[in-house]
Amino acid sequence: MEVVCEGLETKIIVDQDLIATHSTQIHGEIVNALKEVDDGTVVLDISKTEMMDSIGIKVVIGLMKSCQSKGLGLRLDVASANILRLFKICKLDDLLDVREVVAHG
Amino acid sequence: MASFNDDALLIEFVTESKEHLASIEPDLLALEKNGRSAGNDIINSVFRAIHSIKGAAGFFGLEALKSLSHVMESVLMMVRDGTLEPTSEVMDPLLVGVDKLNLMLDDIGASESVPYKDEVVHLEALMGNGGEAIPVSKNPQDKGTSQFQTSQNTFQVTRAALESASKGGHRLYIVSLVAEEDLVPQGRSILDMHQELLSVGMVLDCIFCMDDFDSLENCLDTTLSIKLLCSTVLEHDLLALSIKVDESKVLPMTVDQVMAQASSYSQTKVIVSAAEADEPDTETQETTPSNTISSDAPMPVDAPAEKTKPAQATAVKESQAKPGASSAPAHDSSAATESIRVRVDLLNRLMDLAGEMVLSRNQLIRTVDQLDGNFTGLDSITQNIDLVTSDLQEHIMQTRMQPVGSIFGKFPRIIRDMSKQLSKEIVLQTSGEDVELDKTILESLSDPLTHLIRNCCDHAIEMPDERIDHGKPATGTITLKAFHEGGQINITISDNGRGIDHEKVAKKVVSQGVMSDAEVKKLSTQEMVNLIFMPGLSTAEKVSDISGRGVGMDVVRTNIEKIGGTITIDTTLGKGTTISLRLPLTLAIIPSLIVGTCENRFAVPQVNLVELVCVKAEEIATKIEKVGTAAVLRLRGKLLPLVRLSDILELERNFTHPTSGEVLPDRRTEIADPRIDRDAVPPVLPENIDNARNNWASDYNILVLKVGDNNFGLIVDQLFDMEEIVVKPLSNFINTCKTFAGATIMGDGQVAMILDAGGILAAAKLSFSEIQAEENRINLQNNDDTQKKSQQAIILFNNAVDEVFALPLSTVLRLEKFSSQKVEQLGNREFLSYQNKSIEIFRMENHLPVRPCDISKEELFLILPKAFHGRVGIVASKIVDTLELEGPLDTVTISQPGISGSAVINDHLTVFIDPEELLRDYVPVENTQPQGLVANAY
Repeated sequence: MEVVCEGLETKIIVDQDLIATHSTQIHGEIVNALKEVDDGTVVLDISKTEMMDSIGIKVVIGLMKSCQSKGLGLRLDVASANILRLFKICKLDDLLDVREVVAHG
Repeated sequence: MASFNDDALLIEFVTESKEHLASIEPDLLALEKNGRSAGNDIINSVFRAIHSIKGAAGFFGLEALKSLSHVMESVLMMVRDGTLEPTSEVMDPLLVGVDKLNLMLDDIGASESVPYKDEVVHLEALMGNGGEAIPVSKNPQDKGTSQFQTSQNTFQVTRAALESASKGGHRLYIVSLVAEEDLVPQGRSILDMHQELLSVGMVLDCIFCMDDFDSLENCLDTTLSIKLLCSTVLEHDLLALSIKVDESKVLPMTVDQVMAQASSYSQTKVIVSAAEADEPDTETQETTPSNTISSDAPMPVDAPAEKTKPAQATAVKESQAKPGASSAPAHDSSAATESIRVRVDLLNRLMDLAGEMVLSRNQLIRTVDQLDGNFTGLDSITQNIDLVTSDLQEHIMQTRMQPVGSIFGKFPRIIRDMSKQLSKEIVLQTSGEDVELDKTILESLSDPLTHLIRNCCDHAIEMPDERIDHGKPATGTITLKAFHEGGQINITISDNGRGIDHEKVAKKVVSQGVMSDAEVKKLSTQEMVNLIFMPGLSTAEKVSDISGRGVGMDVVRTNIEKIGGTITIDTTLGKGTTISLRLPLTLAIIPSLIVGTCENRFAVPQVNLVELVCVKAEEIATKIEKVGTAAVLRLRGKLLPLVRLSDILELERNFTHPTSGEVLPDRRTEIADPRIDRDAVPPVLPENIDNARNNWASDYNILVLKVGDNNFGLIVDQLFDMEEIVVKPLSNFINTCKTFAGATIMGDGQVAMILDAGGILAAAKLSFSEIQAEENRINLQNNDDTQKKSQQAIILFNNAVDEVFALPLSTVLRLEKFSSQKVEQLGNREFLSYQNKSIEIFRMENHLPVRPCDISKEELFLILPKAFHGRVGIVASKIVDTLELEGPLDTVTISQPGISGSAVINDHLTVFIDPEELLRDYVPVENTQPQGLVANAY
């Protein structure tokens, strides 16, 4: 995972699937990254993530709640059609700023 | 303030407000499309309408309605004053506001329970930002408290959607799952569960219960609850079984129960990132096509309303699409006609009474006809009653007629919203909004038309890039037309999209096991396309929230047929599809032909009737054939499948024995079986047998009926008059009988069933593909015959021994054999005397570059061309053959006057002579008439 700060945007780039197997590690890393952000917008870049299960959803909801309480903006950059579909079905794209992007090489 | 007890006033308020809202929506769309050029009339009209609703809502103490309409009015005032531009960003929340007001009016008693605060906040934010952007708050102090809508504890679904989803035996359920208990242990994902539910029904909405989540730190320890609102035909326990969850997780619901906890669907997403709130920069994204995916300029997958470019979809009437006529619907108050509001139930009662009046009139006419004796003035009184009744009935029917424009009007909004949702560019063109239909039919038409339009948007119209790749304009067009034709209303929905791939449909049917591969292969292209009407079939690769679940087209057809209409599809792959609906003008009183079979009378609606054909008894065996198991009549070169009404209705057929007069069962099974020996002498019939049914030599009375694209013949025993019949609904215990569309009472008080042509066709199980194949085979055979006829018969002959010439046999009058010794010379011309007439001898070598005839031969031939009436003959040394020539002549290799071409026949170059052209200069055709032939020839 990589964290890139660009002006008021803090981009957390996830390079694995957001599934139960990796969730504890990714969750910890995102928690740590978020601690460093005080203002602006957090961008969760999951354009390299192909799969997301219910654990991944929980991480996204948790991040949303934390950003809300810290007064931060939140955006999700998504490339996977499956994840986009999941967000659409569950209407998370109504609650979050979800952007479809081209997957990074 | 009025009290809720004042029901009459309240109902009137609801009715008026609904009318106001119905007029607002197209006006808002026109404002969005045309901006200020739409004109102040439109802005004022919308403003007045909302103002009226607000005023009346205040009078009734309806706070929710009043508050929402108040803020909408304020926004509209800013638009009117020019401080807010009527852009898509402004129209979106206003349209959502209209939806909310409609929702409140739908159940006025519960209007206060409809959530509307979000809309108010959004509209107020709009006013604060001049329509530039719609953040809920830009105040940094508010940051973090209102940037997120962080819960979705209620389903977002409309009552209409719920009611639609719970039709046709579908039940509503809420499936409540806990991911850690119901999904994770079984290795299933939310998408898997969603898909499983889709396989047994529809998923209307899905929400997460997020209230339990408080932070990222604790999220992994929090259970994730998911609720899915779905509809299916399955019982409660079967649904649980099919999706493999405990029955306690599946909760049956009613529409009211769901509505009680649902909020209406809101398109507005109250989202804004902090960066955007601080630095509103919507310009770049507004100008970037939303379907472009770029890592440099990431775009939202479903961009929030405030960030999308102005509506891609535009909906214009054809007339409005013309230059100079783009400014919106006319608002000509002077054109308002005097009218009063009349309750629909009163009109329905009037209609019923008019029906009874028509029945009584019919009975009166029949009774008067049967009266013996002279009753002075009775005829003129009857005639007058007849005229007045017809007039009365016509005018009462008119009160129920409404223009189809009233349902066409909702489609611009649907197209607009779906275009945004699907990132497609779609234009809707409509025409024929003034065409009127009975209110009942119109109401039944709304849902099927909406479904068809949504299908067009979702499946037919391609994405802009795909359209451009196929050489089409990026913007797809859906055309909705209504017009009168043949006493019926036609509504066509056309698109210039991808068309229906009949092979794909067929494969889907086979893959679903509905039909075998062999069965599908027997179908014609059109029949394959028509498979999309099969229940449960969907060719959509993906099921979307718009369509693709395969529950639509069969329901559309059922609904259309229920109102006496038909639906047909005409599609061209890659070019587009036209769906045509043919509908009766009214369902109440319809002109029908009364027919009789097996002592019963039936009414056949005129709209289904194409023509009547009578096949004489003695012609039955020759005119009626069999194709497969079906009897067919060859009618003007086409094969018309035949069915007996008595067979369909399983009525016992009888006939009267020709000699004994005994009534016996008619045991003929085949339609083509004649009952009589055609050579037999007709016997003398008993005096009381006078109708065709009992006639020993009964003819076939065939009604040619049209259902969709297919015609078929219905054999009945008797034909009576055309009558205007009053349609009475069927009793519950026979209303599932598809062969009857209703019942009516005849002039003599007897009941007659109204036949449903579509139902009869379905019951007959005719295979039109088989009949079509036979017809094609016959046509092919006829073509072969025609082709054979077009083959040319020719005669081959020699002049010089090794040069072969040919003449069309059709140009030859006759051949004469002659001896060269009998030729007489006159100057340099040669003649032959034959039966006291002179035939001039024409030698080709004297006129064409060919070698001379073999003069050593004693016996030669003269070929006399028809055009010269036997006065001239071409010399031939030998007649080689006569044969049929196929194919065209080579007109290039040998080309000169008198020669029509050449061909290689039996390995010899053969030169084709054109006798008329060759001899014309020598013996002009017009001078070859027998009179004065020789004298005039030179």
